[in-house]
Amino acid sequence: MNRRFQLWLWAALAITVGLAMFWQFAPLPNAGERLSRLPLSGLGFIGKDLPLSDIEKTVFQRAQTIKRLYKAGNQVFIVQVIDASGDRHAIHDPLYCFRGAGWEVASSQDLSVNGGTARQLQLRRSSETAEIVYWISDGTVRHASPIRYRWQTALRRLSMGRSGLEPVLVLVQPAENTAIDWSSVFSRFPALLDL
Amino acid sequence: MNSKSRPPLVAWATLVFALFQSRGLVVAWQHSPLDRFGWLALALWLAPGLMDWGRYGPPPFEKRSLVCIGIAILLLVAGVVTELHLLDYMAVALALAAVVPPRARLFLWLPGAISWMPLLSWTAKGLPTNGLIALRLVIAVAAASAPFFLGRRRSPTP
Repeated sequence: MNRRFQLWLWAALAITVGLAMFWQFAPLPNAGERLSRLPLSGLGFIGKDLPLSDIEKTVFQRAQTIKRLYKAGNQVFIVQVIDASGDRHAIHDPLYCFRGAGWEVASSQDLSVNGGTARQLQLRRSSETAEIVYWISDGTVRHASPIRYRWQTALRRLSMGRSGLEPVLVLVQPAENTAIDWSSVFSRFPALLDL
Repeated sequence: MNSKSRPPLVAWATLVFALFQSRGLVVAWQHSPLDRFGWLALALWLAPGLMDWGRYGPPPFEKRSLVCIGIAILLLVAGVVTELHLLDYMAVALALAAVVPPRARLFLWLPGAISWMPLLSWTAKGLPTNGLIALRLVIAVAAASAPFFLGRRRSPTP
């Protein structure tokens, strides 16, 4: 075994550990301020905080999460916002998560929203059906691509946050198994698209 | 066995750091239904190397092991920068290939590492959950048993 090569390997490993520690102890600016701006109530809507499930508590341990029930007009829906700046892996591809929970995607389509697109899914599990709309937002641009999210967060990490604001995942779903008029939700509750 | 040929400390250190970076794997195995039994796939995949270690003692540390450690460190750097766990998992597989290699050609055994990674459930997410678990275990068993049928590589060292 070439001792010089071993020394190179030690040096490379030390740099890697150093980088990991640097990023661990020099956290990037998070999206906490944007999350705190999401109002609990306002003109035409009212909401209340919902507790996280045990699994959510585990998965979102180091992430900032908001989970609320809102009523806007006659539309009742649950909003969940995840800022994974503390733990990038708290945000997965939502399709993967739903499949893991036993749901099948019956249909998937893009939904035009201010600043980009959201994804609207119709889900089916045995006799149950569900609907969900989600998007990833850095406060300006909205999209539903987990790969783009990875690029955004990697770039933020490399540039120490100078490449843009932290992207957050926003999930909205009807609280009851009723059809939701999404354009009505967004017009009555524009703060959702300010995140 | 010549102690100089055993896996050097840098190989073990790389494995330990790769395992630390991959600690999220345990959470995935515990909480993601699509990743269930990933731990069993890892145990099955690793079995030939462990059995060879038990039977013949520590494996010789060869040039291919050195290459594995070098690539593992590169993957760890990329994993740290991008925070992509997949790169950390691949680093674990390569570090294990350097430290606990089976007496097989690595190209037959190493790709089987996908069996314990969430990458499998992500790529095969169209399969039903039970089908995915079965696929996971079949790949692990196939990779682990390949050395017994194909490409036994080096003779045991007393």
